Amino acid sequence: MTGTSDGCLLAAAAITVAAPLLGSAAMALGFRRGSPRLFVVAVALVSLLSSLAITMLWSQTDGVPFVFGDRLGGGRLVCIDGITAVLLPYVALVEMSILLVAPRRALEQSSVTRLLFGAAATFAVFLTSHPLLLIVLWCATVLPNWQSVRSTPGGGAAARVFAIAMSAALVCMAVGTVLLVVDPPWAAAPGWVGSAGGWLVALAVMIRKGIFPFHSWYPALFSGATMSTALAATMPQVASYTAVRLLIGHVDHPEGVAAELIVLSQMALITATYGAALAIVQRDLRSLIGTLAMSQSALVLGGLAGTLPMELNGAFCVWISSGLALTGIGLVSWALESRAGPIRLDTRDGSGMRRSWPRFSCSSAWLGSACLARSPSWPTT
Amino acid sequence: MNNHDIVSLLIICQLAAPAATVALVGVPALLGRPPSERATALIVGGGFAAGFIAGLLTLAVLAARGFVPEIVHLGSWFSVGHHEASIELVADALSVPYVCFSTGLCGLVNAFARKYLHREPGFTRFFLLLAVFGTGMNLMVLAGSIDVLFAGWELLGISSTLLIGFFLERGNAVRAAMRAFATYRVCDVGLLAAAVMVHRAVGSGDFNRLFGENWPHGTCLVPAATATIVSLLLVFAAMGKSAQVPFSGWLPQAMEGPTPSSAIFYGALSIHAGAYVLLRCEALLEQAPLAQWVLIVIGLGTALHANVVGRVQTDLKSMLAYASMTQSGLIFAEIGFGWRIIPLVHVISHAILRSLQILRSPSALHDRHELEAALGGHPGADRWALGRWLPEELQARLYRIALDRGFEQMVVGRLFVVPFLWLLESAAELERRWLALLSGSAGPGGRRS
Repeated sequence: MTGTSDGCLLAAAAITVAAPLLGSAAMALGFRRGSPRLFVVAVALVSLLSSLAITMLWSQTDGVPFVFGDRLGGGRLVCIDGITAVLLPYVALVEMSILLVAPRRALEQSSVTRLLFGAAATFAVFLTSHPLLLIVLWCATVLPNWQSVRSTPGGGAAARVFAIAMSAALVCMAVGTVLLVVDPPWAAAPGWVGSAGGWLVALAVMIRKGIFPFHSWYPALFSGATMSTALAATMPQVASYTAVRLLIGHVDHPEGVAAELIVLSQMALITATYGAALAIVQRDLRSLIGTLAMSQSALVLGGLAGTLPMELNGAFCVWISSGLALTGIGLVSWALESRAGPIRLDTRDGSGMRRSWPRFSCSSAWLGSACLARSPSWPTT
Repeated sequence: MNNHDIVSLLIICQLAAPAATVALVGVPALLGRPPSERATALIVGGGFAAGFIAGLLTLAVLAARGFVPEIVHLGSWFSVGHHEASIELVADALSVPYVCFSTGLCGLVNAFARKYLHREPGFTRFFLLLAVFGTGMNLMVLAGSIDVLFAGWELLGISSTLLIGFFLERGNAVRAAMRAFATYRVCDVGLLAAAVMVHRAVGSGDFNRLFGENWPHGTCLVPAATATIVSLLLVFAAMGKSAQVPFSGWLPQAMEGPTPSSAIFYGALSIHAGAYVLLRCEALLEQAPLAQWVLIVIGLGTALHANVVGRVQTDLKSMLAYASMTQSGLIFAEIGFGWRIIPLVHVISHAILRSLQILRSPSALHDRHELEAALGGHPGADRWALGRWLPEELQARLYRIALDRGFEQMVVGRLFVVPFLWLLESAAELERRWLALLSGSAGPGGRRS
């Protein structure tokens, strides 16, 4: 890799994070308070384009990860490899879709400020492998979402459940990561401290991803928060990324897959089945999407612990395809709800509404199908 | 250009022609400018005609070369290590005649539906779904790997469900569509699991890694245990699509859809999709006697059930649905017996006859009057030949059972559906209580955005 492309990668990474961060600051200062749609979509588009630039620049290298900053606990401040190159455009696309489609009344100043700030933090997560920075960024991604849920009319209960779950996750993540840094389990003579750290990080991932039995906040968030908050909080799958960075490091070692990952994958498969089963008996659209999202998101974790490269690739494929498809479904339901109120599945109120939105729903279906058809054989080293 | 290139081009044409019509009709419809009725029918019909002609030409080329199979490799979906999910199509003695027959029938139904659905609000939607169905059918039939077959199979399922619920203002139609969709979903697990098993066993989904030689004389290349498991999973998948007992309840209800779609789906093609998959994997079945016995028992059981129940139906479409089910059951049994050509001939002849009967069903009364006028009187009741040999009491019992459609719905409902839903409802209730406890309120719901 040449120095020029290194510089370009770093610049693109900086733009990806800085655009929504500056946008958030501008919104907080009252810029385009009246009709922010054009501005926020432009900001999201800048992030999307720069993330695509990262993917293109990285694909021209020989698969050598670009790293920047000090090494700590096996991670770097900026780390751009196959995982980042694949996932960053996906996250940017999800964020832009949310801002593009959000009903006008959901784009009031404070919520847009929080949404952009959360997006910047999420992009930063996907650009780093530094354990301590990951802790900080976990907090930065959780806080705006929690604030949004709390400020939603009638969302107090969901905010409380979300707060309980996220607090537990953050504590486990912080303690576990510190223990992992102090005593890396892949060191020559790993001790119990590192092992305990691994299990705590695994617990944090389980809670943050809504893995059974810590899943209750997931459908509650979809039921009680605005769809933008629910999608922004769940679709990027920050916890899966953390598992990849902090736990999959073990795969390269003679012990094979870390025991935490095996337990995680088994619990994830239980969650995937349980979520899909629960979705059958939901009576409103939001709960249905919530349980379905919980199930699909768990599938990703199920594949991450695989011993075969195919399983890992499958996990990344599901990550992107189900994420985009569920984002599309969520946004369509949001658009319908904003016109017709909450949609119940046991009544026939929804019939005929498809006539008003065929283009949108078909586009979502296309997007989902296209993502499934896309070759998932991206390098993931 | 050699023979292989010609066959490859023709096979791609068989698949691309109906697929292109989906885009040609679908994109303008999405943009709010659907083509006129005449243009829609012409485009979709043209796609089927092109597919049919390409199929006939392929058949001629293959016949001239003694039906040596041609495999068309369209690329690789993904490839990791030793694993590969390739996109392969195959032209052989099974797939090409089947494509000719399916595209031909789709074209005929297209011509019929153009007048039958004239000025119907969902005219464009019907033809679009018919084109999706045609694409899915050709994809499934031409599939050279289980992954491609699964994609076609799913397109079939989706288009079938959407056409059953075509009249979405009718509650019964929507409920019937849901019933069919649920049955498909349950049984599709079999095909999905079979695909996973095949990948695990041979590192690829390609059929030529599963069985060698040419159809119908394939030889199994995997161990008997693998063959048995995969075969049983395929039988399970086929049971749902081909409405075999105990997954047959959706078929009579599926007649809620428009008559042309009933003809093509439940009289001709979709109902035989399961049989096609089993015929395609005949070499595996040969290596799995257990699966063959299961097929025979299920097939004969379905045929008996459908024959008895069909006799007491009071509406023509239900009678035809049960008649289709009877023949489908017999075809399953024939495959179970290890026959290859007989079930294929049975499938094609039954499909042609049944689709004609279903298409004629709206004018059945008129036909009957014409028949009576021609005969100069009542043609007489069609009595059950076997009835003469059965005691009166047993006949009465059978009549009672047939009236209740063999208690199939009741048994499936009470034994499986109700306990399953009760379990799920209980879990959902526990979830609600747990959430209420966590949130310190009655629940996290509330008004949004």
